[in-house]
Amino acid sequence: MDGLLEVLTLRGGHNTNVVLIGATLLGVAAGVVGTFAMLRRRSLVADALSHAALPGVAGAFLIASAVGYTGPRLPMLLCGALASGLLAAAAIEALSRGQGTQRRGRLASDTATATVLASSFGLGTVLLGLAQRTGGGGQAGLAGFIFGRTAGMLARDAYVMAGLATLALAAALVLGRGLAAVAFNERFARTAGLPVRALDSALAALIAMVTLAGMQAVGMLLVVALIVAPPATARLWVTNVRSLAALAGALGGASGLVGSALSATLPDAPTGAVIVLVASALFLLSLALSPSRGVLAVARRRRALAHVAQRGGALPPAAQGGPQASEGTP
Amino acid sequence: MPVSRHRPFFPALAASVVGGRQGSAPRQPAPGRRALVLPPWGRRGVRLAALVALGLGQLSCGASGPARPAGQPVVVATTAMIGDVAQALGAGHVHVETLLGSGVDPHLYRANRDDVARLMGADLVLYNGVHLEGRMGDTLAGLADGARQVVAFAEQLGGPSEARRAGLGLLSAPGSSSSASEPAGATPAHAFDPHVWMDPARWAYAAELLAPTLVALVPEPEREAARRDIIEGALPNFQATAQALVEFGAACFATIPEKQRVLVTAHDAFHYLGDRFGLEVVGLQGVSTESEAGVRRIEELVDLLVARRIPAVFVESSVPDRAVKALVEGARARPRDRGRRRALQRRDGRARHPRRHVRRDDRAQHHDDHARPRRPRAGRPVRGLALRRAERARHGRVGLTRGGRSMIRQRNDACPLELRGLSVAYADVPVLWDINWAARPGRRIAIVGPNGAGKTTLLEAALGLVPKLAGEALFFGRPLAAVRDRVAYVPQREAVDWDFPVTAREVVAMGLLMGGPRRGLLPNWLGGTPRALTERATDALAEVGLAALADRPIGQLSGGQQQRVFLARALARDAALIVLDEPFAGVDAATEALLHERFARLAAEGRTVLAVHHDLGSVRQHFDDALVIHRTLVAAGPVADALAPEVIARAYGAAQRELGATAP
Repeated sequence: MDGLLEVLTLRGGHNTNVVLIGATLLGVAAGVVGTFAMLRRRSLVADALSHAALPGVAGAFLIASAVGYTGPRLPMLLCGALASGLLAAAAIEALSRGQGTQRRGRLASDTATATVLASSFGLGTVLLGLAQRTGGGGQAGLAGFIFGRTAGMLARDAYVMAGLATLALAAALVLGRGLAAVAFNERFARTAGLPVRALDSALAALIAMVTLAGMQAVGMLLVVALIVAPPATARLWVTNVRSLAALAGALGGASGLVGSALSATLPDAPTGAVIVLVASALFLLSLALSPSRGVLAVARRRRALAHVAQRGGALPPAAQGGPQASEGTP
Repeated sequence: MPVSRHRPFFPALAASVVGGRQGSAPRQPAPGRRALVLPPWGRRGVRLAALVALGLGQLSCGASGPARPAGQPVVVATTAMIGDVAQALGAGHVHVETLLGSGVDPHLYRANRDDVARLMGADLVLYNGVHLEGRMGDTLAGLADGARQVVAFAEQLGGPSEARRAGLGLLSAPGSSSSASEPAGATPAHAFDPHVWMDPARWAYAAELLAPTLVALVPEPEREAARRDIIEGALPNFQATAQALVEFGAACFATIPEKQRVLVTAHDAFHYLGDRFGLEVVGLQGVSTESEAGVRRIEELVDLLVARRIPAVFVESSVPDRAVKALVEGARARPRDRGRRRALQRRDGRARHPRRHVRRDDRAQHHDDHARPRRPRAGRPVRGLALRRAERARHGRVGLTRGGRSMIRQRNDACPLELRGLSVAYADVPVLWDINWAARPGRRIAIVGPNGAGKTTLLEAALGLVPKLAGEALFFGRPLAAVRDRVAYVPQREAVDWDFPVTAREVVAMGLLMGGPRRGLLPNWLGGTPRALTERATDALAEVGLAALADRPIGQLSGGQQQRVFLARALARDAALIVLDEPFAGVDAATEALLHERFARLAAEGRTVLAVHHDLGSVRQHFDDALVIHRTLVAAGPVADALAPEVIARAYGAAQRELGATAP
C-alpha cells in the first residue's frame, strides 16, 4: 500500500513516472477518441487497424531489409503499420453497406470488419514468417512491436502521448458537435451540408493515431480495450455527448494511472495487461452499480414495481414518462 | 543512441579467439556494438571495466553445409550452434544441414514444408530442446522412427549422467547458480534454461556425447575410419577449442573487479555464460524472447544499475531494445538514486543535505510533468463577451418566421424540386427508371406507391444520399449543394440509434449546424453551441408541442414524440422545402393530427412539403398533390386526378384494388 502511494505521488523513480504519465495520457486520448468512435459505431475500426498493422509492420521490415535500409526503425515500422491500417479501414468501408441502404453485393459491416481483420492478420502472419527467415536479427522485435512494451516507455513516448491527448481533447472541443451530429444521423447531416467525409476522416485519423500509439504501449490486442472500455463505462453514467467524452477521458486516464501504478508495485505484473484489466474492472463495476442503467439498480426498481403491481396499486407516476411509454417501437 | 541493426543472434566476439589469437585484451564495446553506455557514476570517477559479452555463436559459418556427397548419412540440425558441432565433428563422414540461418530467432521459428522435407530426409535430427525451438518442439520430437534418430542436444546434459556429476548439467531456473540478483523478486516459473551453448565446457561435453552417435550413423565399411576421425581427431580438437575459449573468457572477465561482474541483458539467456565465468546475470525479461517485463522490473533493474554502478547494458538483436533503452534512460535520469542513497545512508547514517535538495528539485519537475495533462482543458475556447453581444445584435431572438412570408414566396418562385430523367439502381438492380417530375411550390405533396416502388429511394437519390444512375435533381432550379439551407430532410425514424446520448433540444440544434444563425466566419459545427442556436431549437420544439420535454434524453421519448423532434429539427432550419420519409409510420393519432396541422400551416406560409405516405385515404384528405410511382412514374398531379381508381389499380395491381383506400 505504501508502495502504491509512493508510485502515485511520482516518487517511484524515473521509469515508473514516465510509464505512469504516458499511460495516463494515452488513456485520456483513447477515452476521448473512443467516445466518438463508439457513437459513430467505429470501435471495431481500432481493432481492424491494430490487426492490419501486423502485415504493415512485417512488410515494412521486409522492404527495409530488402533495400538495405539501416535508419531508425520505429518510424519505418509505424509508417508500415499506418499504411496497412488505413488500407484495411478503407477496405472495410468499401466492403460494408452503409446504414439503412441496400447496396447489393456488399456485406454487413460486422462481416466486412471480420473479413478484413482476419485476412490482414493472415497476411501479417505470412509476412512475419518470411521476416523471421531473413536473418539479420530483430525479428522478435516485430512481435514485440505488436504486443507492446509498456514498461519500456521512454520520456519521448510520454511526450508523444501528451501531444496525442492534447490533440484528442482539442478535437473533442472543436469537432465534437459535428462528430456527434454525424454519428447521430449521418443522412440528415449529409443533406444539411455538414462535411461528413471530412469529419469521418478526422475521426479515422484520430483512431489511427491512438491505436498506433497504444499499440506501442499496451500492444495490439489490448489497445482496443482502451478505446472501447472507457466510453462504454462512461455511457452507464452520463447522458450527453460532452460529459460522455469528458468522463471517458477521465476513466481512460484513471485506468492508465492505476494500472501502471499497480504493475509498478505488484511483482511480475505486465503493465499493459494490468491497465486493461483496470479498465475492464471499472466497466464491470459501473455495469453493476450505475444508478440509472446499472444491473442492480434496474433489478431493484423492477422488484419495487412488481411489489406495487402485485398489491394492485396505481401506476407510479415516475414510470409513466418511461421510455416508449405510450407506443411500442415500430 | 544509434544502434546498428544487422546483428547476429548471439553477441559475437570470439571468432578471432577460435583462430588462435588468444590473449588479446578485453575491449570496450566498439561504437557499433549493441551496448548502451551509461554515464560515469559519481564524482569519484569510473573504476569500472567494461563487460564483454562472449558467445560461441559464430564458431563457424552458418546455414547449410556443402552439397551432399552421395551415400553420406544426413544430419539435420536446427540451430547454427548445433550444426556447427556436428560439422566440426563429422566433416567428411556425414552431411550436415542447418535449418535456421544465422540471426533467426529459434523461439519464433516455424517449420515450413521445405524444412519438414529436409527433416524427413534426415538420418539424424539434432535439436536443442528445452523449449528453445518453441514452435517446432513437438514436431521434432515426433520425427523419431526406426530409420531416424532424433536427439535433443542440450537435453542430454539434463539427465543423471556424468555431466551432472561433473557439475555440467542443465541449469534450472535462471539465477539459481549465480547469486540471484538482489532486487529480483520471485524466480520465473519456467524450469530450465535452453541456452546451453553459452558455456563452452558444457557444449564440449555435449559434443562428447554426440560423437558416438555420429559414428554409429556411418555404414559399416567406413565406420572404423569414421570412429578414428571423429572420436580421436575431431572431438579432441573441438574440446581443445572450447577449453581455449573458456580460458580466454576467464582471463577477460578476471580483469573486471569481482563486485562488478554483472551482466545485464534484455532477456534471460546468459546464465550458462555467467555460471561458467562467475558473472551475475540479470535479465530484463524471462527466458523467452516473447515475454513482457513490468514497470516494477524496470525500476528494480535501474536500482541495480545505479547501486552497482554498471557501466553498460547489452542489447540483443533478438529482443526489442525499447526496454533496455528505458533502463538506460531511467539510470541517466537518476544520477543520485534510491539505491545509491540507501547505500550512502548506510554509510553516513543519514542522507546528506545537498541530496535532499536535489531530490526536491526532482519532485518539482515531476509536478510539472503531472500538470501537463491538464493544460488542454484550460485551452477551451472562451468566446469574448463582445463577440457574444455582437452575435446577439446580429440575430436577435430568431423566430421561425424570420424573413416573413413575402420573402419565402419570392424565393419560392422557382420549382422546389424537379426530377429530370432520374434513374437509380442498387448495384445491378434497377429501382427507379426515368422519373420526370416537377413539384408545385407551396403544396403538400405525397409520394405514394406499393412497397418496393422506390419511394424512399426517390427521396434519397434526389438528396444525393444514394448515387444516381442517370438524370438529375434540381432544387429551386439548382443543385442541392447550392441551396442546402432551403431544404430540410426528415429521415425515417428507424435510421437512428435512439439510445444516443442527446436531449431533444440538442437533436433540434443539430439541424442548425449548417445554415443556421452564424457567429463570425466559422461554421456552427465547430466549437460550442451558440446561444442563438439553443434558443431557436427551443422555439422549434415549442412549435411541435414538446417544450416541456426539451431536456429529456431522446431515448425516453415515445415514437410519436421522436417524430415530432425530427419535425422540429426540420422546422428549425426554416426551409422552403421539407422532405419527409414516412413521417406517419408508428406514430399515435395525436402526433398524426399535429403533423397534418403543421403541414397545412407550412403550405400556407408558401413552403412545400414532400412526404412519403402509405395511407391513401389520409393523402386524399390532407395533401394537395400526389406523385404515384412504381419503379416508373405512374401519375402525378392534384390528388383527385393522381389517385383516381384506375391509376391506383395500375400502380398497385389488381390484387390491391379491393383494398382501395387502405393500400399498404
